[in-house]
Parts: sequence; C-alpha cells; structure tokens
Amino acid sequence: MMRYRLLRSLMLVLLLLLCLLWRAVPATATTFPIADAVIDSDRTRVPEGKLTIAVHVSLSPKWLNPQDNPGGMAYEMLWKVHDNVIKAGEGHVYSYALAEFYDMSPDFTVATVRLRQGLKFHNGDPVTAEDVAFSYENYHGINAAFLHAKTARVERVDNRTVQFHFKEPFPDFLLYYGTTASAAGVIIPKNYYLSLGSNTQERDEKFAQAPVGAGPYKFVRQEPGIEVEYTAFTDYWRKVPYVKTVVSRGVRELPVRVAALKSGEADFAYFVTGELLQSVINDPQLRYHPNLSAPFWLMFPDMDDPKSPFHDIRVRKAVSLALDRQYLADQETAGLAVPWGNFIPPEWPGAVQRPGGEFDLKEAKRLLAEAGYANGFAIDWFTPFPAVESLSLRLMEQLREIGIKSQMNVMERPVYMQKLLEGKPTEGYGHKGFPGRQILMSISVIPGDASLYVDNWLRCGGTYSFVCDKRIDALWQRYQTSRDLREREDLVKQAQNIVLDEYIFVPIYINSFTLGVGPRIAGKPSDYIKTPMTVLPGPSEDLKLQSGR
Amino acid sequence: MEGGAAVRQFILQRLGYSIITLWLLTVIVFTIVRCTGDPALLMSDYPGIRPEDLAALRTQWGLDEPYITQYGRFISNVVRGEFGKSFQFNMSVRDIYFKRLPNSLQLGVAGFLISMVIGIPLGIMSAVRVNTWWDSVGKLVALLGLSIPGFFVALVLILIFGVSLGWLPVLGKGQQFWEPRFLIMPAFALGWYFAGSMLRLTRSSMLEVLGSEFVKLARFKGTPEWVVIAKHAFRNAMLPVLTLAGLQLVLMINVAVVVEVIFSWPGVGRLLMEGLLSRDFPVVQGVVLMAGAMIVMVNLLVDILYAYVDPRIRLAR
Repeated sequence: MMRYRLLRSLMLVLLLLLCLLWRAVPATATTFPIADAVIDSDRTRVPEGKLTIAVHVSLSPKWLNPQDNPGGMAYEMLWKVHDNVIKAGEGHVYSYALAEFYDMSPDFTVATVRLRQGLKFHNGDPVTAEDVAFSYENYHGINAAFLHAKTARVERVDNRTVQFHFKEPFPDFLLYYGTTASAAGVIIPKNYYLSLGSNTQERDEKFAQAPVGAGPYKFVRQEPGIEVEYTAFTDYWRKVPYVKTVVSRGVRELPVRVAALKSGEADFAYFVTGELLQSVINDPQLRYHPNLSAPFWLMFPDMDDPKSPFHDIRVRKAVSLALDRQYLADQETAGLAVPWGNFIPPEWPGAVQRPGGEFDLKEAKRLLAEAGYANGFAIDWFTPFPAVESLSLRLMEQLREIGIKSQMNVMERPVYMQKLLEGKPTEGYGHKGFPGRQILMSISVIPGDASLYVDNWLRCGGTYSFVCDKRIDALWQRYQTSRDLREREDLVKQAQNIVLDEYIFVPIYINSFTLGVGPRIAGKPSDYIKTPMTVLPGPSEDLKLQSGR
Repeated sequence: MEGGAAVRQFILQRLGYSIITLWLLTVIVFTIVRCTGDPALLMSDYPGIRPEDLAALRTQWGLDEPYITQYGRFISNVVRGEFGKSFQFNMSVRDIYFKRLPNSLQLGVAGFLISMVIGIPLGIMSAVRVNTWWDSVGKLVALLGLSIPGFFVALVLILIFGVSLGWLPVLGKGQQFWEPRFLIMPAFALGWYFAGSMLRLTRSSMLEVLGSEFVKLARFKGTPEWVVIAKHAFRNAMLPVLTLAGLQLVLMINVAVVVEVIFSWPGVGRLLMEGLLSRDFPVVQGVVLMAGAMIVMVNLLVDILYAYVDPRIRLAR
C-alpha cells in the first residue's frame, strides 16, 4: 500500500513537471500557431456564372508573377492564380494551404515544410518540393534580399518535403514566408517557368503574360492594366470554386465603380468612399462592408526639439484630447470607421488593443495652459496623408478649437513617401523630409505582425523611422536576440506602449476600405471579409453568386 | 528650278524639319519625365519594402546609370522601333502600345465622326441662317461643347444611360473588337468637345465664304440657293475645317485620356495616364513620341498636299 502511494506521488510529481515543461516549451521551441485549412470534400460541384470585381487601381501584369512581386494590391490577382505554402485563412493569420505540415527547429535554424499529397498546377504538373525550393531560391520580389541573406541553403528532403537552413536563428521566418511580407512562399511551377526564356527578365515577362499556378483560378486572358479573366480550377485542393468565370477590372474612377455596381456590371466594387458611399448605403439593391483597413495617426516631426511645443507631453496629449474621433468617423466614412487608440491595426499579431482615445476639450485646453500655451500657438504646416485632405481639414478645425492654428501642406503621394524616407538628421532635431513645426498625418499597412511596424516606424534608422528613442531601441535589440516568442511579443508591445502612452503617435480611427457588394452576390458581405490582414474579398474559391443570377 | 525638283526639295526640307522636331521631342520628353522624380520611390508605398529592394529596382530599370547613358539607350531603342520595357507592366512598351492602338483608333474615329456629324451641319445652318434661332442653337451647342468638361459629359451619360435607363454598358469595350453598345457613350463624350470647335470653325468659315464676291455672283446668276451653299460656299469653306479635323483626329486617338479612364476603355490615352501616375518613363516616352510622330506626320502630309495644290506655297520657300 505504502509503495503504491509512493508510486502515485511520484507519478503526480512527474505529471506536474511535465505540465511545467509543456508551459515552457511552446514559448521557446514552437512557432506561431497554424490553423488547419477547411477543406470542402464535395468535388462534384460544377462552377457557374461570371463575377466581376471593380478594382480601384490599374492591374499590372506583374501582379501575376509572384517571383517579381511588389506586394500590396498585387494579391488581388496573385491569390486567384497562385497559392501559398502557408497563408492567412478564415480568422487565422496563419493557415495551412499547399502545406500540411510546418515545423521550426527549437534553435530556429531549420524550418521544415511538407506539401499535401496530390497537388497539381493548372498545367497538370504535380506540385513538388523542387517547386517549393525553386520558388524560394529564385524569388526576387519584396524582401528577397533580406530572406536570401538569412538563408544558408534549401534542402529537398523528399518529393514533398523541404527544409530551409538558416545562417543564424530566424524566428521570424514564417512572418516573411507565410504572410504578404514576401511572396517567397507562393509556389510556381519550376519547369514551366524555366521553359519561358534564358534569363530571369525574359521568364518574368513571359510568365506574367501566361501565368500557371496552383491557385483556385486559372488565368484565361488579360488586357494589361485593364482587366484579367480567370476560370475555375476544378482540381484546386481546398474546394471546387463556385463561380466559373471571375474578372478583375481596373476602374480608377469612384463614380464609375459605383455606377458599374448599380448597373450590375460589377459585383464587387473596392474602396467606395465619400458621398457615393452614402448612395450605396441608401440603395436597397446594394450591400456593403466597412472592410476596416488601418488606422490614421498624427505625428510631430520636431518633438525632440526642446523648443518645440510638442516636446511637452501635455501638448501632445492635448492634441489627442481635442480630437472627436467619432464625429470624424461619422462625417468622413458614414460612421463605418472605428475610433482607435493604436497606429497598428488591431488584427495584427502583437498589436496593443486600445479603443479610441478620449475626447475632452476642457482638459485639452487645461493641459495646454499648464504647458504655457493658454492662447494656443501656430505651427507651420499640417501635412495630410495624400488624398486625405477632407479629414485633414476637419482635424485642423478641431485643433483650432484649442488654439493650434495651422495651414495645410498638400503633397502628392510619391513626394510624401520620398520625404518620409529621408528620415531624421544624424545631428540636431526634427525630420529631414518634414522640417519646421508641423503635424504630420499617416497611415500604414505593413503585412506580417506588429514587430514590422516597430522595425519600420519606431526604431532608430527604420525605413520610415520617426522616433529615435533609446528605450525603444533597447527593446528592439532585445527583440532581435530573444528566442522566446512570448518575450518578443511583450517587447513589441512595450515599444508600442511607449509611443502611445507618451502621445508620440496620436491615432485617429481605423479607416474603412468599404466594399460595395452587388445584388447577384450570395450570402452576406461579411462572408467575404474574413481573411485577416487583407481588405480583399475572398478567398476566391469561396466567392458565390446567387443561384440563377 | 523645275517644278518636280522644287517639290522634291520642298519635301526633303520638310522631312528634315520633321526629324529635327521629333529629336527635340525626345529630348523634351526624356527630360520632363525625369523631372517628376524617382519611380522607385513610388514602390516605397508598398508595405514593408526595404531600401535594398528599392536599389534593386533602380538597377533593374537602369535608373542608376548616368542620364546620358539612359538617353542613349532610349534613342537606340527608338531607332530600332522600340521604346523599352514598361516599369509597371514589365512588358515591351511597343507591344502594349500597338495592342491598345486599335482600340484608340476605333474610339477616335467614332468620336471624330460624331464631332463632324454634329459640328459641320450645325455650323453650316448657323452660318446660312445667321442671327436666327438656328444660329442661337448652334452657338449654344458650341458653347456647351467647349465649356462642359469631357469627364462631366461622360459621368452624366453614365448616370442616365448606364445607371438610370440601363441601356448601355459603362465599363470597357466588350470582348469583341466591334461592339457598338460599348462605343456609343465614350465616343459621344469624346466627340462632344470637338464638335463645339468644329461647329465654330465651320460657321465662321462659311460666313466668310458666303460674304465673298464669287458667292454673290453665283446668286446674281440665279443659281439655286442649295447649289450656292453646297457647291460654291461649302467646298471652299471646308479647307480650314478639314485641316483642323485632321489634327483633331490625331488628338482623339492619342490623348483621349479622360474619356478612356472614365469608361475604362483600353486605349493609349489611358496607357499614358497609367504611365504618368506610376512614373513609368518608358511608357510616357513611348506614347508621347508616337503621338508627336503622328502629329508631325499629319502636318508633313498637309504641307506636301498644299505644296502640290498651291504652287505659291512651295515657291515661296
């Protein structure tokens, strides 16, 4: 009996130890959670009908070639024809796609990917480990140099398994491989691609004219820049698409996109804004989805100058308190935008979740008076994000309420981006691209997770860096050396909290990239906006027309 | 100098001027597009792009080379009938241009016909019935044609015939080359503006001719009025109108930017717009140069025809 008790106690201790180990191991040795794909086993479906999407930009043929991919709206075309090894799925940042297994070694130096069985490209060729390895090795789009610099070699383990060996621990591999931060995880048929020419440029050009992928839709034809037509790929691994023909059409003019939606020539219209949004909301035939994208926020380029009023946290806080975010959202987006307290979109992994900031004019004025600006002050410029002048005018009016007077400094988008890249001076204060005393408005959608926002916007020397703060840089240094995923997430949150608590960035609201939905589309608009970190309706194989339409 | 030799010399001289004009155009367009800034910076708008990605793009597009090298390559391409590869589309600009040119020709010719059908008869009626309500209607049409912007006409047409009545499609040109349903609205929106200028020129030209001695003589001789108008006045009044019409046709084919963008018409005007917005230097250079070449060609042909028709012109040079 005594022996039995001892054994039982030992077993309990062992179990407890195992539990403790289990708590510790996932934080250090595993990777981000990856969801299983939802597979529809009904292969008898016959795709029917034609669906047209009115896209707000021109459609570049380059977007059909993942190897040369610039990211962003390119996925409108890319995800119809091609598929990733791992990608965002319904409600999940990472979901298995062409792969059925992924693993990262405990020391973060080897990532293993295993493909599903029986995958096919549109030309009938099987999808193999060789294609996965080639797609990675030959990839020369966004972030290619960064990925290749990290990679020692890519090993074809067997016909379905590939191992990526890194020169140093690379915990962020999936961040780049499984999101739109790069298209290195989008698989193309190696043999077909190589058959198109003798050099990369020639192959890229021809591949973009006649792309072959493993996505839910086969490429049919295109008018470069104008429209692309696809037809359903009935051998697609996840399901047989519902719609037979899908057309993406570039319609730059908003009134024409809305007119096409109303006349039935388009079934989805992207980026419906302003007064025309109200006409879509009022039309009983049409539906819409707010399709929230990313927050707008304000920055103070000269805040590190002790002579600047924005050097004082009370002034920056007063700016935040002076903004009636709900009013702005109501006026600018028919109430679809959501007031928000972070500059990183809430669905990004690692983003601090903060509701919209408080609106308190009285307190704002009190803070300004306390800081020595009872009568307010004038600044040189209020620089809007390009083409967002209307919201900027309202912001300027609200700031005038507390005595901050400004003039608008309108910039073309390329000029704005160019100035943003100029960064902070090596000596002195302020920002090289935005000199003088000004408030700058921005919005940014960086695929991946919150760490990429810290990398790009917050650390000293980041691509668009506006902040050079020793505390944030120290956090970033620790982030880069840490192998503990929980700690890394915590460090990224700490960096965000610094800029938000100290009003270094003042968020406004999450903008609405409203999707107009025509009467022929089956189901609710929300059925099509379920993939995290993208504003594109889909996935494409789930698009469905009402029967008989 | 004999007539044939004089004409030959005149043509050669004109040809030389045309080549110089085109060369100057290459210098101007090459310089101006580069004044708009660095195309790679537009890509910095793409989320998460790194400075090394931008540098790779500049190398790929040849923008890291000295301007003189870039210009040399541009000219060498032009001589070979090429315009380089589009940054945005990663395709030969020549291929894109000639794929879109037939669509622009279709739209340009249709718009041209509409402007002629509206402008010339109304211009004649305004001149013949000067200071009557016919003339008032003509002047009103000319005023509206010249003062209402093309985009507004296009949007009103879309609202009425596309959305409210649902008679005509609002997007694109259809799958087939010839689908008149798709052509009607863009052609009207394009032709409307040019109809105004055509009407005004026809009217003023007709008024001038109708007041001339030979028309009065024809009337004194008892020639029927319609013969006076159609045979004597109209034929003489048409010379400046046809000169303008030729240039308008070239413009309609090449720079119907607004109409092509609004109706999502796959023509060269929209291509130019896309090139400008994305700082796609090869596209802008190619489209502008082709448009310039067409205008120079039309002018050259007109000069040559004038020289053949009117010896005073060639002998004066």
